[in-house]
Amino acid sequence: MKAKIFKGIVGILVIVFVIWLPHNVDQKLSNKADSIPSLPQPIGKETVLITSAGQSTDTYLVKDIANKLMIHNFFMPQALEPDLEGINTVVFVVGFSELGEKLHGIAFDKEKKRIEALLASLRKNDVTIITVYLGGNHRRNRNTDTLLDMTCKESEYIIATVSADEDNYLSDLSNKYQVPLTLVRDIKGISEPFASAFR
Amino acid sequence: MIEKMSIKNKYVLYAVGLSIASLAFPLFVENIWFDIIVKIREAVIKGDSGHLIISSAYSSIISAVLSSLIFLSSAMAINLVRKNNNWSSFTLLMLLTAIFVVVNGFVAKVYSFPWEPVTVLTSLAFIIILVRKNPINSTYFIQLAVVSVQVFFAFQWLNIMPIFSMYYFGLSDIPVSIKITGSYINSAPMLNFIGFSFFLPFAFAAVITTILFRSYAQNISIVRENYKKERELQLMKSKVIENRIYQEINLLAHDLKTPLVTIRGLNSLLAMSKDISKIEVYSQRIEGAVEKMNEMVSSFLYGSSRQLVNPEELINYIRAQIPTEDDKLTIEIHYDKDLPKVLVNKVRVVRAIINILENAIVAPYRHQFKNIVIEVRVVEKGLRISICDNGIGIAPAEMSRIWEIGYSTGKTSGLGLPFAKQIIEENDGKIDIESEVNKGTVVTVFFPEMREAEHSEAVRRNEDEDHRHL
Repeated sequence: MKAKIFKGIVGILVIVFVIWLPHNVDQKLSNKADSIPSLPQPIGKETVLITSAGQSTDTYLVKDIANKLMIHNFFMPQALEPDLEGINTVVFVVGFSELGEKLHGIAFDKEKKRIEALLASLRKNDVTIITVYLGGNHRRNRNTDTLLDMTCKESEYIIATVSADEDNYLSDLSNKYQVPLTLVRDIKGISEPFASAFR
Repeated sequence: MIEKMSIKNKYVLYAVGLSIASLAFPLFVENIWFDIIVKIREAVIKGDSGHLIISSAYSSIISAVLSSLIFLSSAMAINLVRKNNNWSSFTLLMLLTAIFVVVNGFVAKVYSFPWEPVTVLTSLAFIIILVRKNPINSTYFIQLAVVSVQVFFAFQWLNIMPIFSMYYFGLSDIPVSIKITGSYINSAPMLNFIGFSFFLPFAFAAVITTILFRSYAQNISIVRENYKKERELQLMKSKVIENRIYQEINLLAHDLKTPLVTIRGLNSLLAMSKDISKIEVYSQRIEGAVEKMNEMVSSFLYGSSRQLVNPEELINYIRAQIPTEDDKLTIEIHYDKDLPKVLVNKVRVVRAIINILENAIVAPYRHQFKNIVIEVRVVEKGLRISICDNGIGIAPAEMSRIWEIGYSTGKTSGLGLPFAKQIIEENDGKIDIESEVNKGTVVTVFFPEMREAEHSEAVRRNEDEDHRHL
């Protein structure tokens, strides 16, 4: 009897959850209208260094987009300070991947230190920084948020998918650090704002 | 007790073995995860969705195997707990879920193994729903292993389907990377399609497997039950046959009283008789009575013992057994003159025919009177005895079973006909039965005629046997 009641309650909760969730997500997406569609004028200059912050595979997507836009770039997911020579713009593709870091034999703390060192060097040399985040809400976690905070703080432009900002985290960072933010509906929509940063 | 201990030890061994396998498995597959990441990168670089499908397959297989190992080790542990405690199914189920989640979480934390709480818990619920009503027998854990692998593999494919992201499926590193890449290279619909293409057949296969295992368990249970019933039936039949033998002995003892009364009577006459000439007559009669008793005892004791019998003797003996107290019963006996002698065990054959007659008497009838006709006729090469009644008859469907021991369509023991058949066939006779519903039944018995040479030989053998018995 107890089991039957439990099963009934679980069943009802599942049905309610299934009905409620898609509706709720759509509502949240429709509220995201405060980001800019693209930059009014370019902020970055080639040559561009594309590097990762968190070692997710998303970095490869940005590299592919840059190549398709014919933006001269170097692709170094684990770039260090010496790699910045001759670089005018650095694009940080943020997204924490535990397996990605393990594959490259680095721990999160080490990755964080690498980013900190890069950012310090970029700040000193007045290099343009752009933060790109493609992971949506699913890749959002404490480590990703830490990396986002670090890079957004020093960035001149933030590009992300709209689902990443369900909790307004990116909007808040944008407001907090006074950085323009573009939220795109899906990953393919990143090309236009990304191009606007250079042309 | 020792057997129970050994079964328990076996389960402990399995549980420990599976737990070790669960903990060691992530170490062996670490490089495969790296291969998956490399394949995702290649998918981006080449714009090839094939790499994503391979990545999805690898990811689903690894995750399904790990989840199955953890689930089976948890189930083994629960089985041990179940044997030692009298906990309710609900408590055991909650305990199973708790162990499963804790071990999964532990493995994910220690080995950085991507795990999907929603996926594995949904899979677990599905497995429990499937197998909860299946009996726990010797094949139960094989069934669990097969079903769990199918279910976990099926549900892992939901992780790479973008349409299931909103239901919190596929939130770990690899599925997210696959879905993001799939979205970028315009392969999201393909991922949804591939995901369903694997999910549906495997989930369906799991259901079918469960049903097959359940049917198998039910069939085994039915076979065991039937075997048990068959043994009980055999035991019952042997007891009934034993009772039948006692009944036959009683009847024989009753029959033996007749010559004994004769002997006693003649003996009294001998004592009182003063006429010497009559002593010889009385002695001959006593000898005749003793001979009759000897014949009866031999017939009963030795089944192979046969005598040359005049069918009229059989008829008289049968006539003596006919009940006279039933007003609604009429029995007619018709027989030819010069009936051929037959070589049979008289006592046994008479008992067999009386059994057939008793069946005819107790057979239900719809007429005003029960009429039984016994005909003894000379036929080619032998003698035919037919017993015909006007009862309700036997349905055609029941005809094939009437010779089975214990089978009865009415209130009889179901032993009469098989007993009669056995006796008649032992005496080189044949028995046949014909019946028509609501018209009646005819039982026909045939005994071969004795030829002259056979007759003499039979008499000689009969005498030799009698001497040996004496």
